[in-house]
Amino acid sequence: MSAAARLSGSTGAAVRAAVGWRGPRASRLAIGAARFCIVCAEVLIALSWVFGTGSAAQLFAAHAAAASVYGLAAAALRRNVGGRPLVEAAMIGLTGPLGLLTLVLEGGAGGAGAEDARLAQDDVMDAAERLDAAIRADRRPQRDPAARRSLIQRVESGDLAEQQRAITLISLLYVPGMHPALMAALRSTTPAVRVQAAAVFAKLRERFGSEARRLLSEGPGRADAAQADALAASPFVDAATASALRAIARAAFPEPGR
Amino acid sequence: MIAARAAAERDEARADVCLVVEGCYPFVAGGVANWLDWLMRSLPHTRFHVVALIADERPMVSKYEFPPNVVGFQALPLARRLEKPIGLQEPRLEPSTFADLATRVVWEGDLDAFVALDLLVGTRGANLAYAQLMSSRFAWSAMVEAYRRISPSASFPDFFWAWRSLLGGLYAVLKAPIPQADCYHAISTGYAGLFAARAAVVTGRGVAVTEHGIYTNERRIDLTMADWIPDSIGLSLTGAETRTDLRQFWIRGFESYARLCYAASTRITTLYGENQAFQRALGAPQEKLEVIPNGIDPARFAGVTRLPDGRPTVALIGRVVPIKDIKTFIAAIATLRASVPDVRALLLGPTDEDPEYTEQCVRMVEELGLRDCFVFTGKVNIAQYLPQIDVVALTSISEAQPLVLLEAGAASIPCVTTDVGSCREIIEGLPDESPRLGPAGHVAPPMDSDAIAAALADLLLDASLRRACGERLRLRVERYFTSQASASRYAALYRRLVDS
Repeated sequence: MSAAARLSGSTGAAVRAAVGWRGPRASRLAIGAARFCIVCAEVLIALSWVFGTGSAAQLFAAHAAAASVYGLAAAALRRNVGGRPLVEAAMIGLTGPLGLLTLVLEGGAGGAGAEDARLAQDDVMDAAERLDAAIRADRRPQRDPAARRSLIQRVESGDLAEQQRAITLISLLYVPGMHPALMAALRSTTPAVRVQAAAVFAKLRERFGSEARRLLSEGPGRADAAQADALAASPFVDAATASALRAIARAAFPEPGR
Repeated sequence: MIAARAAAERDEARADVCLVVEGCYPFVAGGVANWLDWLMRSLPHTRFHVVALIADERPMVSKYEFPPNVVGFQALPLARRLEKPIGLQEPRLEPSTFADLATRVVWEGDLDAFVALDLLVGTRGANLAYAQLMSSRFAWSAMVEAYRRISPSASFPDFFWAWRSLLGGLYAVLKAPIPQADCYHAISTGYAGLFAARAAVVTGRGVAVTEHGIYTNERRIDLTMADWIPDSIGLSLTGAETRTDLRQFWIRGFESYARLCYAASTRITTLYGENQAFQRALGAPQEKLEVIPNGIDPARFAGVTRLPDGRPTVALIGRVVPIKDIKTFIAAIATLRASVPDVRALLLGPTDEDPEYTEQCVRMVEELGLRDCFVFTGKVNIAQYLPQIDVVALTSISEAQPLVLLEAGAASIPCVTTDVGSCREIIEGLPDESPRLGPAGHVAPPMDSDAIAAALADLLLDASLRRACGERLRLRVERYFTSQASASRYAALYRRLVDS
C-alpha cells in the first residue's frame, strides 16, 4: 500500500507538516546547504591544485578540514536525514574531488531528491489511484441493503449507540434530506441524544451561517447564485438572511417577463 | 523516638480524602473548579490531598489559593516530554502479551487486564521507563499488534498518534505515585477515573467517582465533530459499519476508561438522575449509584424584590460561548418582541472567553434590530442585577446542574430553560418530590428559539403566573438544593468510603 493511502486525512497532513516539513525538511535544507559549501570548497581546492597556488600539504589540510566540517554537519543532522550524508563525508574524505563528482552524478540520477520527488508524487495521486488504494485498504463504504434503515428510523427507534452513530453520520455527511432526522434527534427523550444533536445543529448552523455571510458580502452578480438559493432554503439561516440570499439568486436568474 | 516522630509526621501528611481532578482545579477557574474549592472549604475538618491531572509538562499558574485543609498537592502531566536515552534497554516482555493487555484495557475496559498491566509496567512491577513504553522497538511491536486487532482498515499513522495519546495518558497514570489517603474521590471518569481505579487496586481503599457532566458523553460530542480526526474508512448511510475507524477508536477508548473506573469504584455519584442512564449504559452497577445535587446558600439571595421600573426584563446569566447557545437566545428575543414589544434582554456574563463568537452574537443583535433592547453587560455582580429581572432564561445545549437556575430560584425569579442536564428536575421537581410543588417556569427543546420565545412571553405577560412560579422555585431550592445539605451528603459519602 502506498504511503499516501496510509497517510491520509488531516492528521496525516499535520504529521507531515510537523515531522516532515519542520524537523527533517529543515535538516534536509541544512544538509543541502552543506553540500553546496563543500562542492564550492572542493572546486576551489581543485583550482588551487591546477594553478599551483598552494602546497600539497596545504591542499590536503584544506580538503581534510572541508570533509570534516561536512562530516560533523552530517553527524549532527543524522537523526533527521539518515546516514547517507555521513557516508558521503567518508567518501569525500577518502577520494577527494573525484568522490564528490561521483556523488553529484549519483544524486542527479535520483539519490538525494528521490524521496522528495516520491512524496510529491504521492500527494498528487489521481482519483483512480486513490480509489484503488481505498479498495485494497478495505476502506470503501459498506453497502449492506439488509441493514439499511432510514436515519430517522434509527434516531427514533434505535438503541442509544445506534442513535449516536446516526447523529455522527449527520454531522459528517449532512445534506438537506437529513434535516428531519436531526430535528427528531433534538426532540428525543434521551438527554444524550438531544445534547449531541444540539451540538451538531450548532455546528451546522455556524457552517451555513458563515457561508451565507460570505455570499452576502460578495453581493449580487459575484456570488454563486445556485449556492445562495440552496442556502436560503436551508433551515440554518434566519428569515432575513434567507431573503437576502434569495435576492442574490433572483438577480442571477430573473424570472421570465421581468 | 525518631521513629515515633516520623510516624506522627507521616500521619499529619496523610489525607482523609485524595481528590483526583482532570483539567480543572486549581489551574482553570470556574465550573467544577469552583465546586471543588467550595467542597474543600465546606468540610474544614477533612484533610484533602489534590491530584491535578494536566495535559503536559508546561508550567501552569494556579488560579486558586488552597484552603488550609489541603495537606498535599500533586500535578500529574498526562503527556510527558519524551526523551529516548542512548542505549535504551528493550523490556523483557512479549509484545503480543503486552498488546493483548493494553487492548483489553483501551478497547474493552477490562479491570483484570488493567490490574495486570499495572503489575507489568507500574511501580509495583517491572517499573518500565516511560521511554521503554513509548519509544522502544517493543512498544512499536505492541502498537502494530494492537492496530491489527482494533482497526486494521484505518489509517496507520493516525492510529499511531491516537494510540500514543490514549496509552500515553494511561502509562502516566500507571507510573504516578499514589498519595496516602483514607479514601479517593475522582471528579470525572477519563484519566482521573483511571487514577482512582488504580488507587482502589493498589491501596484497597474506598473510591468514589462524582460526575457533574458525563465525561464520556462530552468526549463523544467533541470527537463526533472534531475536524482533526480523519475518516479513512468511507462512510455509508446504512449504519451497518463493522470496521473501526479512528473516531470510533477514540470514543470507545474513553468509554473503556469509564467502564474501568465504574468497576473499581465503591460509589458512583452524579448531580441528577438522568445522568445515571449513561453510567448504567457503561456498566455502572445500580447499587453503587447515588445522586447528590449541588446546592447554594439561599440566604445570599433572600429578600430580592423586583424594582418597579416597569420594563419587562429577561436575563441570561452565563458566559458568551457556543455551548450556552447565545444565538438561540438572541433569536428568541427577536421573536418575543412581536408579543412583548418593550421587552429588555440582559446578557450577564463575561464576553472575553470566545471573542469570535461574541462578535458574531453582537453582529446578530444588530442584524436583527435589537440594539435598543439587548445589553451585553460583561462580567458583573449578579446579585445587583437580580432586582431588575422578571424571568431568567437558559438556552444552553449542554449543562450539568446550572447554579444560575438555583440562584434565580432563591431570588424567587421563574426560569425558562432548555431541556438539558438537570434543568427539568429544577423547574418541574425531582421525581421523588413530595409534596409536588408544581412547575417553576417552562422547559423548551434546545435550539428552538420559537418555543423559548413562547415560554418567555407566557411568563412575561402573566404576572400572577410569574409570581407563583418564582415562589415554587424558591421553595424547591430551599428544600432540595442548599449547599449545606450537599456538603453533609459528601461528608457522609466519605464516611461510607472509609467504612467500606
